[in-house]
Amino acid sequence: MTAAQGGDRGALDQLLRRHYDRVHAVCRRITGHDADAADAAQEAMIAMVRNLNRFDGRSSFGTWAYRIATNASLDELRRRKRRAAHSIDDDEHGHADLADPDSGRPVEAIGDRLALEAALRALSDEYRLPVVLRDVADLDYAEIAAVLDIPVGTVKSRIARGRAALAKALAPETGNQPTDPERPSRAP
Amino acid sequence: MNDDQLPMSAETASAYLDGELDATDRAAAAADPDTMAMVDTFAQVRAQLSRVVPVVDSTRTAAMAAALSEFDAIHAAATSPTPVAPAIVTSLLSHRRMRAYRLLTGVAAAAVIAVVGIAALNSSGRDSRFSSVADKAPAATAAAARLPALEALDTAAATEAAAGSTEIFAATADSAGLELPAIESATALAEYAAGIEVGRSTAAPAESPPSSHAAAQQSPSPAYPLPACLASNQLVLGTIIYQGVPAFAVRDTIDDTVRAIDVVDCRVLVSVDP
Repeated sequence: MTAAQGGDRGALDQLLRRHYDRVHAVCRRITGHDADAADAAQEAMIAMVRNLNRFDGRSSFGTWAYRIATNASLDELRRRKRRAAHSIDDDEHGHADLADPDSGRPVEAIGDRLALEAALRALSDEYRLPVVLRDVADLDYAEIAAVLDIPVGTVKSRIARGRAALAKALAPETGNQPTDPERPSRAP
Repeated sequence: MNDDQLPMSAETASAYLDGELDATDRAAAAADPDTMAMVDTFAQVRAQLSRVVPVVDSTRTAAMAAALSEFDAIHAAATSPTPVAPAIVTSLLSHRRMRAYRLLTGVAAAAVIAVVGIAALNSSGRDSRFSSVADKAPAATAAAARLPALEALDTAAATEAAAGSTEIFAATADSAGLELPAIESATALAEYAAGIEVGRSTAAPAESPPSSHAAAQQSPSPAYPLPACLASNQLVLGTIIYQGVPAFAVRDTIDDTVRAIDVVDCRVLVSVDP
């Protein structure tokens, strides 16, 4: 990291390469589209380069990188909305990802993936982002709170709620009785 | 749906899975079969979420190439005495620097032209010919000196103009000011912003136009600083002339508002809601 900040191109290459796949995964889960994820991940990589000297080490590089990736993904989602408004052909883009690029995978896995993506799409950003940052980026609650600029308690409840909603949507796939997020709270 | 409706066991199970419970609560959760069943369910959701389709090599390669090209561009700009466009990738940063340079050059040229023109008109009142070089040079030089961040090139050009060579200023203005998009209305600004975004989304990374990057994401350049008033959530889309005023077209990433902000005093010239 220090070498990269000092202008060592090889060190920067290594650093970015080490984090790229996970950054892409975060972008993929937030945007829900392969193409948008690729764009967002690339924008995130460029932003990391531009801001490398501003990284002060108070958080881990990963946390910092996921914050940038999250913002890039949200930007990409906004652009997608604009594109949709500008083009009646947006359906073509929206459906492109239905063809699984990893065509060698079992059909069952593809079905799971589509169900998961549909469930994720149905979640609002406020629930999807903390769940993705927790379960894909592997950030802890405090890190997620810093990335999303919300209190830790809110992170905790939103992750629980997001997972409950996903579990409910994926009930046939997970094989367990879904949690009903609408069910009133129990008395402690 | 609000947080009050969330079952306590769901929140406990979620925190249990994440290792965010203290020892007492963790023991209590472990003793509750319902909670542990939910933990299993959430663990399966997590497993599914973490199974992402592997990144295609070409996608990774393209992203790495774009990032490293940006690195090269930044280092080239930092080590070069004058702003230069990178050889391989015309980055956003370089676009902005070149535009700022041209803008300042254009402003200087316009000021000098105005001074020369006024002097010529004044002198034509007493003489049908242009006034002498001695009459015009101090005024032109003073006008140029008042403009911040002007380079020696601009001052030299101003002095040359004062000597009567007006053609050079026409040419300078031509190559500078006219490149900035002239926008006269809020609607036109919205269209400009949308055009930038659409163009950017379809362009190859190496051809990205100056578009959405936060002011906070700039590499600071002492020669051409962006105004300090721009916050980290304000993305500079480009430099424009809004109703005759040089401005930054800026998009707010929080509320998606597009604004034209005066390059000199940060005045919001117009604000367009999404």
